Amino acid sequence: MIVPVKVCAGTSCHLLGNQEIIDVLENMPAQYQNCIMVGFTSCFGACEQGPCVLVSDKLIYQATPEKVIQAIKEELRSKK
Amino acid sequence: MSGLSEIIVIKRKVLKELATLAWQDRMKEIDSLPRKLTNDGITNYRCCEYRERAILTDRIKLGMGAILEENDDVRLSSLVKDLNTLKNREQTLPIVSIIEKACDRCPIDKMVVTNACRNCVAHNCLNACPREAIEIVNNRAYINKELCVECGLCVKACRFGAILEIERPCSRACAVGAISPGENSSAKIDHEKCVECGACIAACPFGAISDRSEILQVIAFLKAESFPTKALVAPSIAGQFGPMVDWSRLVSGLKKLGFSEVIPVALGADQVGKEESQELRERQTEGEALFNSCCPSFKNLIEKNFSSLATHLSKTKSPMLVTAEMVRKADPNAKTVFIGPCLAKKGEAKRSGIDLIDAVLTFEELAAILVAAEINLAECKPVEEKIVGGIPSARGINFARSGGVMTAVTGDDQGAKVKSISASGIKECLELLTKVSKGIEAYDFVEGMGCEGGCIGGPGTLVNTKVAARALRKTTENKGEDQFAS
Repeated sequence: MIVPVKVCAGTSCHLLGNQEIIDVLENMPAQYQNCIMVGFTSCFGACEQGPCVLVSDKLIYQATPEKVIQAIKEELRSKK
Repeated sequence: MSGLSEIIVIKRKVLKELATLAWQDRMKEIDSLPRKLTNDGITNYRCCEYRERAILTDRIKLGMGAILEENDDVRLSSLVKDLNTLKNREQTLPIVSIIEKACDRCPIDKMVVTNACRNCVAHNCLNACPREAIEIVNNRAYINKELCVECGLCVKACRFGAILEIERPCSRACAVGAISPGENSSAKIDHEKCVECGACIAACPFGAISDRSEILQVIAFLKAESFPTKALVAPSIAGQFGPMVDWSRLVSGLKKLGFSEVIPVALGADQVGKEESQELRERQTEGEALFNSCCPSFKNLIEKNFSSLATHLSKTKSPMLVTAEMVRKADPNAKTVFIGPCLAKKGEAKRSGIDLIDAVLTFEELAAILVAAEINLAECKPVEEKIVGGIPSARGINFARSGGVMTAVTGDDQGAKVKSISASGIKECLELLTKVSKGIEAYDFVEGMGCEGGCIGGPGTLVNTKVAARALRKTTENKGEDQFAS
C-alpha cells in the first residue's frame, strides 16, 4: 500500500520550517521510499499552526520530521 | 545553512510578528509583543518568563535595526520613532550583535578534567604537560590555569579521554578570532576583526548572536506612495521559497507586496564576469594575481587580515552595486532593496553602496514580510511579462555557488592558461590566503566565498545548501527564455 503525504509548501509553512520535513521525506530509508508518495500543496488554511503536513487523511499541525514519520508508521501499521 | 534549530524558528517568529505589526500599522502595540510571543509558546528555554521576555525584547530590537548597546534600557515603542528619523545610515554599523542577556557565558577554561579521571598510576597527563601545570589534587588531575598554555598535549595523552578540550562554539566558528570573552565573560565581538560572515550566529546554541534587520525600513518604503521601490534579487534565490515557487511566482508575489519591479542581480553578475575577465587579462600581462571582490566577507577578510594582498582585489564593483547602478540610471527616484542570503551585504551596502542601495533583506526576512502581508508565493499567479533588463546567463546565475565566479571570469578560452582556485567558507579562505601571502602558492585568479558552498550556503537562506544547489542547477540547465521560470 501507498501512504500519500502532502506537505504544505506555502510561504508561511516554509518560513516555519517545512524544508526540514521535505528533506527527511526525500531521504527516507529504502523500505519507506516505496510506501509513501510525497506531494505538495499551497495551503491547508492553518498558517498560524504550521508547518502543516497531511498524512493520508490526518492533518499534522506544527509538524516536525519525527511527528510525520510517526504518523506514516502508524498509517502503514493500521492498513497492513 | 543546514538543519532548522529552535533558535532559527524563534528568530523567524519574532521577525514575522514584528513585520505583522508594522504591516498592519499597529506598531503602538510593540511593547506587548514579547509577552505575546511567550504566550504563543516561546517559553521554557530560560530560568523564567521574565528573562525570556527580556531576551525576546532584544531580539525585537535587532529586528527593528537598533544597536543593542545604545538602547539597553529603552522601551521598544520609543525605538519606533527613532527609526523613522534615522537618516545617517553610515552610523548604523555593525551588523552582527551579541544579545548579552541570552549569552550563557560558556566556560572559558579550555582544558577541563572530567569525572572520568581515575587518578591512574601512569599519570600520562602529568608527564605530557610541558609546563608542569598538572598536579594531583583530591585523587584527580588538576590543571593550574596560571601555568596552562592550552597546548592540548594532556588531552591526547590521557588513555581514558578524561580531559576535554572545550571551546566556546562562537569562538570556534569564528575563523578570524573576532570573538572572545568580554569583561563579564559574555561573548564580545571585535568589530575591527569581524568579517560579517555570520558563522557565529549559526554556531551559538543559545541564539545569543544575531544580526540587525531592516524590515521596518523596507515596509515603510513599500507603503510610501511618493517613490517606487525596486527589488534586486540575488541569483541564490533559486529554490529558496520551496518546491512550488519559481521566479515568475516570486515576481508576482513581490509586486503584490508593493515592489514596482523585480530585477535579477544575475544581470549585474554577467557584467561583473565580463569586466573581471578583462581585468584578469590585464593583470596577467603584469604578472599580478586577481581576487574576486563580489563577496564582501572575503573582501573584509583580505582588507582586515591580509592588507598586503589588498591590491589584488578586483576593482570591479559587486553584482549588487552594478545592478543597483542600472536600476538607478533608469529611475533615479526609486528605492533599491537588495534581497539575498547574505549578512555581509548589509555591511557592504552601508560602506560602499550608500548611494546605491537603500536597504538589504535576507531571504528569511523577506519571507517574514510576505507572511505578515498574507502573501503566499505558492498561490501567486505567475506573471507573463519578461524579465526587466534582459535574461541573465547561466554564468551570471552561477555566481551564487562556489566556483561560479571563477568559471565566469576565467572563461572557457582562458581556462587552460589561467591558474585559478576557489575557496569557500572563511576558514578555507583564510588558509588559502595564508599560503598565497607567504608565497607558498601562487595563482592568477583566486575566488573566495565567505560561506561554505558559496552564497547558497549563506546565513540568510531558507533551504539547506544541497537543496539550493539542486535548484540552482535546474535553473541554469534550462535554456532560453524560460530558464528563469523553473
